[in-house]
Amino acid sequence: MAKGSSHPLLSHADGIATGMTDILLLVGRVLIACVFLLTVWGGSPTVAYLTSINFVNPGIMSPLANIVEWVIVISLVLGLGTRYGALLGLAFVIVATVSAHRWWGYPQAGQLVQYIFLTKNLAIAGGLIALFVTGGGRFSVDEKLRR
Amino acid sequence: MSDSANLAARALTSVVFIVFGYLQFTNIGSYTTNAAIVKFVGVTGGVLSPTVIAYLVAAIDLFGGLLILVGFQTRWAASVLIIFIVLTLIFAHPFWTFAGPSRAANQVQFYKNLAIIGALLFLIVLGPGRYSLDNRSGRS
Repeated sequence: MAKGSSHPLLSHADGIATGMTDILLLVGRVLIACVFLLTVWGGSPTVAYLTSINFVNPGIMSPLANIVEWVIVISLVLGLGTRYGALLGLAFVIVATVSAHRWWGYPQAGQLVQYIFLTKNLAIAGGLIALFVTGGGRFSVDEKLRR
Repeated sequence: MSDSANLAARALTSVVFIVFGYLQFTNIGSYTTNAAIVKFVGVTGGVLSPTVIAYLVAAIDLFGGLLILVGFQTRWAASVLIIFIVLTLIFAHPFWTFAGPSRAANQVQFYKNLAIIGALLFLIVLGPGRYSLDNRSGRS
């Protein structure tokens, strides 16, 4: 996974990255979990919100989405089934982005912020894909269970 | 699959930087009066003018994003972008200093930016991967 990336003069970051891998993975997991926690802490997406964006079956999908978000948060923070948590998070981000941040459907004034949400969500999706590749690292329940 | 997943992760993560770097370059006038940039200039005692900072921000966004996309000096680029995002957390989205609807709005951006830092940390861990310029130019 980790290997020299460039001319020796430019590859000092490699040493730091490979030496701190497990810490970086832990911090990254918590940071990504934070955004899901922020959303679900307020009970979002609420039935009223899902109704307002014409989402299918708001009464069922709102609690389901809340449960899914909690599962993602717990999985990422503890590093429990990390790769499944990453895939679930990826699926959640895709559904949320496609259903809620279609920027072109918003009035002009609100388009930029929706566009920011959309592109930021892409970056978060990228992070979840990367986490799927790396796995949770040493500081995870997965690692404890492996032994 | 991990090399293609690495490429997909880099491409997805790079979009936000490339798009907004481009938008900043092409609307530089509105960014020189941007509240966060004005605040940053104030805190740093005006060593660099708002115009310089605006161009600097645009350049970090655009070129940082492009480096991540093509995978050139991936780890360095990701590290610089992380520092940049930390500055946006402090100067652009300190939601705890806002009241009303802008507090919630900035809080969302704050947490999304945190998650993007997480994404960049994972890219640092992953390293360049097979489909990257680092891999082509590396190990001479």
